[in-house]
Amino acid sequence: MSQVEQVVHIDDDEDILSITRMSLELVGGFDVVQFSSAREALESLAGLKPDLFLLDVMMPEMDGPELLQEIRRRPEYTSTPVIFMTAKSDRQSMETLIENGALACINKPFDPLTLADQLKSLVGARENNEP
Amino acid sequence: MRHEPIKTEKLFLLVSSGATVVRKPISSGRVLWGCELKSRPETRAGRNRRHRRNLNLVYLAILILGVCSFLLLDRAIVSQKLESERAAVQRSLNSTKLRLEGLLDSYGHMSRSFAVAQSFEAESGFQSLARLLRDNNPSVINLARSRDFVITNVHPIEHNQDLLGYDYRTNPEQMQSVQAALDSGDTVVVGPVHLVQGGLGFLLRTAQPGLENIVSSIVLDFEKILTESGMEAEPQVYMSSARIKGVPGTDEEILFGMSEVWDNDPVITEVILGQTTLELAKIPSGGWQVDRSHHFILFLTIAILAGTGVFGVNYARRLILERAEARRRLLDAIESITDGFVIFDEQDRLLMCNDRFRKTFSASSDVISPGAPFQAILVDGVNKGLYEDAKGREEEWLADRMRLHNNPNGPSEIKLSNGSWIKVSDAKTRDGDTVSIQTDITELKTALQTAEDAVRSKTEFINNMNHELRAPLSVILGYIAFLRRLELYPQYTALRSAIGDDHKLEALLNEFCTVIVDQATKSENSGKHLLDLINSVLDWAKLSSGTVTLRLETVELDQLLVNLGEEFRSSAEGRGIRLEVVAAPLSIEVDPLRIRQVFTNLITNAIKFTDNGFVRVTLSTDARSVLVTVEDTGRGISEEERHWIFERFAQVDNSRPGSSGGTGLGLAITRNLVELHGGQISLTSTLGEGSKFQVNLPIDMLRPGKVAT
Repeated sequence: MSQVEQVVHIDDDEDILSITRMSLELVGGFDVVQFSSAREALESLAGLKPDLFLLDVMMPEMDGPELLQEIRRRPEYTSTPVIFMTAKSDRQSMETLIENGALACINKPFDPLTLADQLKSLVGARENNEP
Repeated sequence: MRHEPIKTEKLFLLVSSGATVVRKPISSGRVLWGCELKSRPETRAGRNRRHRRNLNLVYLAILILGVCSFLLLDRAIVSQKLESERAAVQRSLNSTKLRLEGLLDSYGHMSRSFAVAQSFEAESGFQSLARLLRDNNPSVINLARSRDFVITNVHPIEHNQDLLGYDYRTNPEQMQSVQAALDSGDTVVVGPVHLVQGGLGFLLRTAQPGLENIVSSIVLDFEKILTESGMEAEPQVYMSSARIKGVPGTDEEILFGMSEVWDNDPVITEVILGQTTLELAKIPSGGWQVDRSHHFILFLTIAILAGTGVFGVNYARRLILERAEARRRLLDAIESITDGFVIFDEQDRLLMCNDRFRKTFSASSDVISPGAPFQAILVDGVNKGLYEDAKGREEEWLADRMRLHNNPNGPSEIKLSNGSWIKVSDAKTRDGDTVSIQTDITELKTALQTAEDAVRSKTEFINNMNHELRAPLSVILGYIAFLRRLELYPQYTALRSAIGDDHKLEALLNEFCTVIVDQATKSENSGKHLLDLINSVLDWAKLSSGTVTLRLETVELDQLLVNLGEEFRSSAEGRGIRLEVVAAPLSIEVDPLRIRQVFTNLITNAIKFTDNGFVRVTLSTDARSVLVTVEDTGRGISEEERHWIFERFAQVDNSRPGSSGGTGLGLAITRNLVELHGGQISLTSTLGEGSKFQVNLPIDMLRPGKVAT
């Protein structure tokens, strides 16, 4: 299982931010940096070198897929894994997200007690598949 | 030149037949191109009256023709009969003439023989020879001999004594014939002449050879000669007469027979006797009366022919009327249909079209005329922007349309610039014509578009609901998860540290935590149930809207079932029942997520409704199917319930323990997913003994490699 130390999480729902922080910090022991909007995240990412981006899909002003494109434009994040968390569980939407560069999609509601392990597993699997 | 459609009272359909374009009347009140008749509209009764009038004229013509034919044929037959009768009379007359000429000739011979014989005979010899000749020839009246123009011998003496010593020179007329005989040395026939002793007779004068001025004369009875010639033969058949042909302008003298013969157009022949021409005439004894026995046959024949003609006219009229009526009905029907109708001939030239077609393509009305090529009409429409689909890709669109027109293969659709949609159904006839029906499907397309918009709106609504329901549920279930694990809260750890060794407070805290965890667990269960319900409703909504598509992959079905068995084993054991999976290796091409959903539903249902015993999942194959059975020893399903258990919102008896809380969509979704795979699901069950669900998936989904046994 990969070593995930820092996760940047962006979601416009404060409760989801709270639950995810509890899940990743208290259960997974990650360092979690959270933003409540894509713009705020883009303005504040400088200097951060997270091991994983955890993005919400539906957000006002700039949604998750657009944020992913912006993140990928930054050289330091071209290969940083991005995982979406979405309540839009239809298969087509999830496949589109993966085709656009996401590592995986996690359905909401998620199990906060296993979320950290799930993220580690997904990132680890990706690293194992890379040459 | 542009021809605007004209509203007319009576119109003609322009029909092209080969190279000829003819104009035929159709029913009134329609608009056609450039065709007008100014007469009043003809009603059906008016048309019938006109037909009856025409028919009467035909009958009258047949009658006149019959009468004329009768008269002409009768005249020809009568004429032919008259000719025939005249020919018969002519033959009889010719025969008479020949006999007369023959008699005179033979008497001439006799006269010459008499003259030769007399040259050596004296008076006694003359008398005996003359007697012999007269006795044997009853037409001979007397015989005489003259010398130096004076009669010296005569026979019979009786009644002719006065002739002895008669000098011909006293009668120039007789002298002329005597002299002619002397001059010719042959027999001269004179007559008919009035005889001295009365009556008419022929005189045969012959000069005695070698003796100067001796002439023998034989007097023949004119009437007897003619009678002997046959002039009075068959008196019941013919009437005969004879006369001297006179000089023109003078009356001829009737010498023989009745004068009325000459007044009844007789058959006449002439006999030339020296300077005299004798005319012989004959007519039938009853006059020229023609046998009219042919009248009946002639009348009967013409009557039969006329009758046949009338029958033929009636039959032809009926056929024509029937054809005309059928044609009128067909044209009326074509004009009445609400779809556009058009026919192009084998050279793809316009034969005919109805009003609806012209209205639909009114922009091209100036080229829509009989004989116009299909392509010309199409190109005109494209040039005028009639076809919305053609804009910007005119050449390609024209090529497509021509291909569809020339090789009809089911209906096609055209969108016009005015927003309407036309369904074009082309078909080829046996003659090579192309028949096209053009249906306005604008309403249908609008309804379809509305329905598609509704489906899209529904899908968007479902997706939004999916998000809007899951988002708060995520918060609820997220917080509850932590409430079940209070030790994760730093505050809890701090509180417990603050209590320290105070056992009473510790007991109270533990009791409080137990209540919190218990209630959190119940809330979590309800939340998960709510999530299941939401998932089911959303699944059903997607399935019923037809927006679910399968992602087929090769799946090791045995492994999938085994994994499900592992997943739900603890749940089954928690209810005191065994969960068994009997599956030999088998690979199959299915949608793994959806097929997993199918068996998840069946297995969880079986566990849910089984109180003791087992739930067994079995994988096998037969000749046609891959079979998966989920069998339980549960409560069973009644026969009545089995009829609707696969229907949506169906649930078995809710009064049963553990049966509440479902949407009634689980088995409906299961059946729908199985059928999406081309399979079937069936159920056998006995109340109190258990149920057996069997899923049959098509054998052609089987993939080489692993095969169940």
